[in-house]
Amino acid sequence: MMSKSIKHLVTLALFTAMALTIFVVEAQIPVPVPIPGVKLGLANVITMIVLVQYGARDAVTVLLLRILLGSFFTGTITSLLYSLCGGLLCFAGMTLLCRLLNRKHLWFISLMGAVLHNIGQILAAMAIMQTTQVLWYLPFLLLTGAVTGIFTGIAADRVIRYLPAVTAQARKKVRSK
Amino acid sequence: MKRTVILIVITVLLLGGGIAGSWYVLHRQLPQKIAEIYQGDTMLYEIDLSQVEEPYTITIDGENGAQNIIRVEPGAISMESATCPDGLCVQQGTISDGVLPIICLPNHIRISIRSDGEESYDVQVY
Repeated sequence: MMSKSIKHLVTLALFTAMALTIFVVEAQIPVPVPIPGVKLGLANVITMIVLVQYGARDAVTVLLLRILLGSFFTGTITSLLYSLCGGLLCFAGMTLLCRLLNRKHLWFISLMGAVLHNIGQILAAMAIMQTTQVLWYLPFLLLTGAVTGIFTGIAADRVIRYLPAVTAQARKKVRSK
Repeated sequence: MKRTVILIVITVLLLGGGIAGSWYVLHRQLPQKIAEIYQGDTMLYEIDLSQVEEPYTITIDGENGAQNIIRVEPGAISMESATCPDGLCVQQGTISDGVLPIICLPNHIRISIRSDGEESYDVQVY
């Protein structure tokens, strides 16, 4: 019998590993539009799953670990700053919306998360580049963030719907061995 | 149910705002073609693109071996090559009189068209 806290730790570690893998793989996908900050945001699917299933504290742990480790693998100190600003603002917004809205509106929570992520990155760019001109990118990022956000939200919703069945099946397999 | 409708309305407004804003940014033209090249917050070059007769390149070296090569042509400017990992600044192509700057985030290089003086739109967005 596995103790509850160890199981919890292992689950979060698994989610972090998944988020990190998605993050690293996604960084290799070329983006069709030459605007900095446009991306699919697939790693946010994991953040949302943990947020809905395990709560805000665990989700922020997974998020911060993913961002820190992700920057070690793919980026530089500057990209760490962009990721942190975007990620934390996105997380704050999603946590707040999760309290206000019901789980069937996850697509909207994800959309707002994506938009806030882009706003956070623009704020970081404004601070780092010392210019307001990056604001010209905001309309494009609102548009792409809204579209990708809806789809990652739907993806997270699907995973959450089937997750209990998958874990139950895995448990059964372990027992029968 | 009512809540879903409100959320859909907000989504449509966001998408509409994004489309309208993007259209505005792409179609806004500045009256002068003076390009400014910044590294971080310091301006390195100021070039009146309408005075350029022969194309030439400018090389800017940054920290940790970062290097950006900027191509100046008559009436236009672009990033010819850069050492940044994503290469987005090169893909952004040529700018001449639009408000959208070329920004190389990893190397902190910004090329923008100066926006003071007479403008074809009299609204400042920021």
